[in-house]
Amino acid sequence: MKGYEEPTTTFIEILTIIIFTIFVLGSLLMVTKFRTDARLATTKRIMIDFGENVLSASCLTNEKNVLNETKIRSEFEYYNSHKNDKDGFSCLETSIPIKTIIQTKDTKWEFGNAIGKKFFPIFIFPAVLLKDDGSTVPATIEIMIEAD
Amino acid sequence: MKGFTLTLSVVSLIATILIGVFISFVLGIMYSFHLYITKTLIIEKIYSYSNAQDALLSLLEMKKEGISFKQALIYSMYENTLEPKIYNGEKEIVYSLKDVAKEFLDYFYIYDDYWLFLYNTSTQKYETILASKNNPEKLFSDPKGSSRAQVPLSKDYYIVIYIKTTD
Repeated sequence: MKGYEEPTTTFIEILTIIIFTIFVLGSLLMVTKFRTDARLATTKRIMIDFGENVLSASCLTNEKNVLNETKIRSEFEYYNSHKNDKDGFSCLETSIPIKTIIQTKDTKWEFGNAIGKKFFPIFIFPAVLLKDDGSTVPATIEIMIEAD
Repeated sequence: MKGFTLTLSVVSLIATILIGVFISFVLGIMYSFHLYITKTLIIEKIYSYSNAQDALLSLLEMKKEGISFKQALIYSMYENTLEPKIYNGEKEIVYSLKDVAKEFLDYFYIYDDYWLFLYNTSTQKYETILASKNNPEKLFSDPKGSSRAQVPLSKDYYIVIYIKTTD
C-alpha cells in the first residue's frame, strides 16, 4: 500500500500545480484581452465622435453633412505639409492617430498619420459633396485606426 | 501522515478547480457585459442611429438642377405628387424625388435595406418615396437590426427613413 499511496499524492500535487498554473495564465490572458477590448470600445466611441465632427468641421463643410470640394482640397494641401498631425485636419484634433478617407464615385482623399497595412474598425458616415460647379454627389467618410 | 497528505492534496486540487471555475465565471460575465455595451450601446444605439440620421440629413441636401431635395419635398407636399414641377430660375423641371433618393441611397446602402417615406401624423398615412425591396412594411415590421431617423417638414408631415443593415 505504501508504494501505491506515495505516487498518488505526488501525482495529485503535480496535477494541482498544473491546473493552478493553467488557471492563473488563462486568467491573465483573459484580463489582458478584456483590457484591450475595453480600450477598443473607447476607441470606437472616439471614432464615432470624430466622424460626426468631420461631418460638421468648418474647414471641410459648408453646413452639417455638406462637404465642400474647395475646402477639402485646401485641407489636403494642409495635410501634405503637416504629416505629423494625428488626424490631418487643421480644425480638428484627436488623441489617437486616425485615418480618414473622404470618397465619392470619382474622387478620393486620405487624411491622417495612422499608417499600417491593416486598419480596424471602420466606421462609414454618409455625406454630400458640394462640387465646384454647384452640383452635389453622394460621399462617404470612412474613419479607421491602425490595427494593433 | 501519508493519508493526511493525500487528503490535503485532493482538497487543494478541488479548491484550485473551484477557484478557477469562479474566476472564469466572473471573467465570462465581465466579457459578456463588455460585448453587450460595445454592440448594443455603441454600435446599435449610437452608430446605427447617427448613421441613419446623417443619411437623411445628407439626402435633404442633395441637389438636382439647383433644387435641393428638401425644397422639392415642400413642393411635393403642396402639389401632392412625388414628381413636383419646379421652376429653378431658368426653366420648369420635373423633380423626381424617387430618382434623386435612389442615386443617393444606392450609393450607401447597396447591400442593405432601406425604406424612405412621407408620414402624415394627423391622418396616420404614409406615402413611400423609395424602398430597396417590395413590401417594406413587412420587411421593417421586425425592428430588430433596423434603425430609424425622421425630420419634420411641417406641422403634420415627416420624412422618415428606416435602414436595416445586413451583418
